[in-house]
Amino acid sequence: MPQQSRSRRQFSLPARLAFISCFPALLLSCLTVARGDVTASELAAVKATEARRIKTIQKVYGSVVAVFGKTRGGGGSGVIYDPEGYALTNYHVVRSTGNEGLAGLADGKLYPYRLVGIDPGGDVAIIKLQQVKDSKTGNLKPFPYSALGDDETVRVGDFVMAMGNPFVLAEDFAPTVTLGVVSGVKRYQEGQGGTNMLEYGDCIQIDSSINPGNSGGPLFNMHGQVIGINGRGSFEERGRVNVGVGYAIGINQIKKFIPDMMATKVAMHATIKATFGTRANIVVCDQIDLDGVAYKAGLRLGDRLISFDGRPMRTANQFKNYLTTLPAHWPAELVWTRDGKEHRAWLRVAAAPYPKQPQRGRPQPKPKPGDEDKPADGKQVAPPKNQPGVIRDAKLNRASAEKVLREYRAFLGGEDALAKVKGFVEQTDVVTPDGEVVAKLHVLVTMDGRYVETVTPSDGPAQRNIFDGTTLVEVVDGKITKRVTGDEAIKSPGAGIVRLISNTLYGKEGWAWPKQLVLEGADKSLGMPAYRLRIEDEHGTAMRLWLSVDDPEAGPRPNGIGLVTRMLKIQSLSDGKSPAVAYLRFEQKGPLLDPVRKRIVIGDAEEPGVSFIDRKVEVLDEIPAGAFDLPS
Amino acid sequence: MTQIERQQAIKARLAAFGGGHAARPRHTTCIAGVAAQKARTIGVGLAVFFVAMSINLVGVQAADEEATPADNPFAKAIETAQHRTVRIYGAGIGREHGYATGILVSADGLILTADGIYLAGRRLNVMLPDGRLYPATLVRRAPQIQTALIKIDAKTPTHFTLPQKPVGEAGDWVVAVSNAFKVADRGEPLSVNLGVISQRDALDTKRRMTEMQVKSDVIIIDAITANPGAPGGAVVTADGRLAGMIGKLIQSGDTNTWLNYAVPSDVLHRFVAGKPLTDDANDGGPKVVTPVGKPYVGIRLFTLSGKRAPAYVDRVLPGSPAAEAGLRKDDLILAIGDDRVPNIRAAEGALATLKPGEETTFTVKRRSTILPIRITPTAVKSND
Repeated sequence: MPQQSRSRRQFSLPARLAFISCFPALLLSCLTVARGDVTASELAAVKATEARRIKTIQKVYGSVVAVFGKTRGGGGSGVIYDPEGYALTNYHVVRSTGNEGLAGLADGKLYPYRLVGIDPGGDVAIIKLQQVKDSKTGNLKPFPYSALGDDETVRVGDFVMAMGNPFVLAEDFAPTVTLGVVSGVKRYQEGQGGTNMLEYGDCIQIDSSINPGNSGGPLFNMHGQVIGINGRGSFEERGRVNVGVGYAIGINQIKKFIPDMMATKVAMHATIKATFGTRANIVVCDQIDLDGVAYKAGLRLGDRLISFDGRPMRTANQFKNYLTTLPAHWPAELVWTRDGKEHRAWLRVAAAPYPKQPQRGRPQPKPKPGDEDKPADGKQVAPPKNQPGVIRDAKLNRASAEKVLREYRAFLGGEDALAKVKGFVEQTDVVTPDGEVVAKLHVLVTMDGRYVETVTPSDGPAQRNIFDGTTLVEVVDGKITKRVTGDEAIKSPGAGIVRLISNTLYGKEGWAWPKQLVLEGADKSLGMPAYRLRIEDEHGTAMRLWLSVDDPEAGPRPNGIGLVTRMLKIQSLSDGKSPAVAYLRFEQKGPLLDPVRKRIVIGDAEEPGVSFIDRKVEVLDEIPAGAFDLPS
Repeated sequence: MTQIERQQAIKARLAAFGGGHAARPRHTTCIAGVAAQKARTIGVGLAVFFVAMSINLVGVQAADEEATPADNPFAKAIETAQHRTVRIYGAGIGREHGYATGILVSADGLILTADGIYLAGRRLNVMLPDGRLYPATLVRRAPQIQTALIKIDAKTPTHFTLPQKPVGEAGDWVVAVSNAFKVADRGEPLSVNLGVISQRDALDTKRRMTEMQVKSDVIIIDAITANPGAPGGAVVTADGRLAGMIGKLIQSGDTNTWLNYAVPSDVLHRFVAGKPLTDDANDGGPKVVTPVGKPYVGIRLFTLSGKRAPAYVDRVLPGSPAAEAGLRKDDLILAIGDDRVPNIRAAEGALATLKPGEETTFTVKRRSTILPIRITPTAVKSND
């Protein structure tokens, strides 16, 4: 039978090969020495790896914090992520240590810290260590700090290092390092201590030893980047000591909450006021609040969930797991099907309530219904101090907002570079999403807010707008068609927004910080976690800025800056309902990074409108004479 | 171990040491390894040259730090194990957990797991790595190694092949894959712990008050695996071979600490193949048990004087295991297995913990003589 003979032939060849390949092995085995010994080269490779690991540890060691309360009763760990002394820790650590405390570093010194913001739902808090002055230069000394990584790339089996102060062991605050592997990713650990409290969604499970005192400490990958904050473990009848099952809050979740915490809010988590169940491998809406965001977006009972915020949802748990990692008011797209038909809607998730906490001390004055946010007697009604989701400390909030702007200015090139630049000349194409050039722009703008702008539409006469600081002139076909001066010119939307941008983003630092500079909290733009700032000057011109928390794609970190903050989106608020402008790409132009590609984006979905593509950018260290001469 | 296997083992070990930066050094190690091999065959003088060169190579690679992408030397082993490891859900009583882990050992649904209370209930379910759930039946158990074989009615083409010879030796990296603490939800990959094999040896153990011994050799590992739900999990080497199965939770008789150990895969092979589990000729192989359920001995004790009275047999039910073994009315039960039975309460307790199909020696006093009577309880019929 032919088939049989063929199969025999097929088997015989590999078998023969295997037989032949045994010979060198047999020969070699005669020559080798005792089993299990390692050659010099192999030993060298091992030692080199070990040396690299030690080098990585040395790099980050100084940024690990031992956190103590004022009474030194409680204790935990933390990690500094910013040279000004901002550090991440667990909420359950600061809950027992209070608003102020002491932080011990590997240098053996204690630094007082202040609580900046908390996220009780995610068990995270930000504290700020007090910087000390350098006795020689008189400048504040920067703290050692660690870069934040990306936990999406973490894989099961990756080596990781937990650092902290287990059992409050180190008298000199030198952190303890424990090496282990990632045991699981995207784990869920249910909340503790009340509704929506201390809930770990999409967290990282590790077998590195974590013990009491490790709470709040960093989990590092082997590049020395923080990929999580160690917070809890499964112990269960084994006493409160490590049993090889610990959990870290993922750093990507924390990045989404940093803006809310920096805004001095009690950060709140997300709900869409609907729950889902997994039935026969599909995710079905089984409960819905008729006043909730999901209902208003069009979701109904029995609908099948397909995806949320760009992630396919295959189980109800997956949805709950991911939802836990989002801050309140996060914009996200919900996709579902009903009778086989697909529906999509953008919504902003609602805030998941916290359990009511008994007010200690004096009762807080309660705002009357309807009075919230309304000025009464010319004054803002002060919300109760620890009410979730509201700015707790306006002064600290402004300091955070200024810090975010300083970070962006550092990203652009730093104060020295900004001081050199007096203006820009840009030639820009205005392009529709279909790629059609509909206009060309030629703009000269100075860092003190003057500009000359020429718009040449592809199908019409060119228009020129000139603002010389006091007078705004519109010229069409060489003829002045409009001329305003004084207040009217200053308050005009065009001159207003140019002035705001140049003052806050390019002008001399602190020279003209506007009257109102508020860090509103966490938001999303271009798919990234963002700080949302509201800026208003004394002329009533206002804008919103969306700045990235830590853009991993922004390139190398500017020296002396903890997180890379780049502009994502700007919206003018003085111009009625003007669309926002997203900043898509920056390029080095002269001493500064310049946003060379911008685009109008509409709504939370950020649907693309026309793009602005810079064809030529020239950085001016001097403004040419006569640039603002007005035609008579 | 052949030369090739040894090379693979060393490579795996080195790769593991390499940690986050293993990608390039591992490659270098291969070059270095080949060079060193050549050197051995050529001569000592040249060996020095080759080794020196390869160290140099390693040095060059080591300097190139930032650019090296993080590597994961265990990724393949973990994936192999996760696709062959299942979740087991059964009955839980009190502090005994009703869930465990198991490993697939055949293409037709045979699963090995640690013996435990979860096997005693009427419902026993197995969740495959892809999230599908199947009811399972007990095939047999081996009390000598605290291991049970169960079966589901499903095709499981991806399974471990049990080796006849021991896998792994002291110092080898292993990953333990299990559902410790039931952390992994439906469809989520099981948890992974990393450790090395400390040694292979016999255990001297105790578990709470009852005597439960693992009589074969076991593999002691330094990963923490003595956690609820972990028993039955896979312990695989860095190159993905099954070294053993995480054993039933037991405490050391000396230190009262929980032991992290695995039943070696070669012992598991003997169990599944129906061979004697140890080299001990008296062992006799695994005991065959058919259905799961409560033990049935077939005696009634003389309870009129209360539960603290001595355990006299009031009646032996005809045709019962006790009757077949020769137990008689008015016999006084002194001990059941290794447990002394001072009164009826203790006797009832001991009777309830007997395992169907497992022969137990009853020590009884009949008139003035003390007799050992071997009784093999059957299972109570399911409508009980």
